[in-house]
Amino acid sequence: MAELQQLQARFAAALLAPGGDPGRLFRGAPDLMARRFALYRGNLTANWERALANAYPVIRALVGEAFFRALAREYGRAVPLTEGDLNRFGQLLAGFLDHFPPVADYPWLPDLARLEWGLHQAHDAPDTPHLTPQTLAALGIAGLDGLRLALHGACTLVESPWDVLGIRQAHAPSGAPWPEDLAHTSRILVCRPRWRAEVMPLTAGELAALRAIDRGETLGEALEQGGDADPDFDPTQAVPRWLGAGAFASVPNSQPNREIPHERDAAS
Amino acid sequence: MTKRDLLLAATLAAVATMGGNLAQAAQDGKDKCYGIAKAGANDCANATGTHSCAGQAKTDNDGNDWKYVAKGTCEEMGGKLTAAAKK
Repeated sequence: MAELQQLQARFAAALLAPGGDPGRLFRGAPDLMARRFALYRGNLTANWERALANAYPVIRALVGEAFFRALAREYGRAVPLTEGDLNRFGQLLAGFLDHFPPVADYPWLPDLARLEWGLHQAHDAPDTPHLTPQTLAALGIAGLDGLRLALHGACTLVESPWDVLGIRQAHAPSGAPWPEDLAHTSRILVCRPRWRAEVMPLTAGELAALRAIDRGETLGEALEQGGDADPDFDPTQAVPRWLGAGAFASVPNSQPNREIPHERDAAS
Repeated sequence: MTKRDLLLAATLAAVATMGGNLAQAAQDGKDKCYGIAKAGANDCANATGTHSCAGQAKTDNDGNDWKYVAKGTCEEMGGKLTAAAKK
């Protein structure tokens, strides 16, 4: 068994090393083996590239195909895979780009990656029930005040000093114009109200409140923080907007001191 | 009532009035949108790696042969940014 492990380790090392040579791993003519091994490596990197392109179409358009292919290879080598699902392959790209010198001239790329990853993961997040207005309305004032909500699994909050939303829209099929000024703050809720991943621009107050909710603070606290961050923050507009976007997971059963008739909703 | 209670009361009222329409809309949407596949994710060489026809013919001998030049739309947009990039 130890021998097999060694063999696998040598195989993997040769596969990941630039120009790695399988050496005496296989029987047969060495140059033929090297060629076949290169094919195998080609498959691996082509799969990496496709997996990454599937999640990051805008970044691919921004940097071009050749650069993107090489980026996929650098990323695949630099970031150890922790799971077998290639759909999750790109999940650490934003952090990788933060410290990747070749893209230092494009400082908006990491945040764009965060936005694109949010959309990607919104696409195949589990279809768990959303919090409904009915559930919330049944709670009463005290219930609302102390309620601790969780963002729905398909939702991500993205904030950037760059106009990543504008950049994305400029690359959409509708072909919006390039953003006039890239140094423009983006505050975004990525969500999936029905079946499609969507982006919803947020006000500063909304973002502050949603962040507080995401940190586990009560709804009453969070709404107050929204008002602190932005004097124009209006919960009577914001909360219905969030609910319409499917921003929250259905309330779990274990809320203290509250009976919430959500289980039947969820099951029906 | 505190200010916060007033805020919550108003929020509650706003939420209560949105009720039915939304649930109905969500249901409609679900009926119509079954089976959406992400573009490009369901073809032969899919992203899950169960097929890899796209890669079959490619060889990859050397990973260090790329030049650090981005040739996509960054360039089109980039000109506007050089001044703002403070790295």
